[in-house]
Amino acid sequence: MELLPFFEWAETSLLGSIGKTYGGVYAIGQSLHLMALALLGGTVLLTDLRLLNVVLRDVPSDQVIENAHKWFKVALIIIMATGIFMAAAVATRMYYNSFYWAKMTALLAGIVFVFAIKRPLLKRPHKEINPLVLKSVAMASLVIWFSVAATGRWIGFS
Amino acid sequence: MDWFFVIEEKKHMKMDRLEMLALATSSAVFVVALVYWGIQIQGVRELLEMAYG
Repeated sequence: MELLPFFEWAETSLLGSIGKTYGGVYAIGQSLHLMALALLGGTVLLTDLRLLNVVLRDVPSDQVIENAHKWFKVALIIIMATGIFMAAAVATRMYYNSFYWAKMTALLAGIVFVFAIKRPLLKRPHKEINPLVLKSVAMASLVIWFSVAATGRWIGFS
Repeated sequence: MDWFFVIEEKKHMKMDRLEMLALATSSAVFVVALVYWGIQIQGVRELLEMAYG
């Protein structure tokens, strides 16, 4: 399926035009994107480092994961909304950028990993889960979200 | 290192299907990330060698 026409359309759409024309609006979108990234990164670090027994060892991991997941979802929604707005303004350039596609792949992998693997697993009492599995899931989650962040930053330098 | 010893103590706990799936997916993530970032780092090294010798 050819995606280029969609990206060309996105750039000329109302959303793309607003982003290109009004620098202030784009800057606000980008600021919200970065703040949501910080929030998402924070929840990921908090939950995964807790599962690895590195931080908040005196708080039950079930409680940490349950509370952090709500903010993870909020951050993800803001990231996706502002991300679509930002990408629309430079859609054609993004289409030809390999790191954009790497980031989208990593982001999709992250979302699938969280909602299909990590979340169903961690809904159980953590004491009943094999610690090796808990640690592996935490490490894999850190690797995925590191890849999302790193490829995302690389877009700006390629 | 006590988290490591907790793994050692309980690693023989029986795993169900979801746990096996989680372990397999995590392993796949490690392999893919290792290959991807290995290729990217190699690319940057080659570029730096071309630029600075």
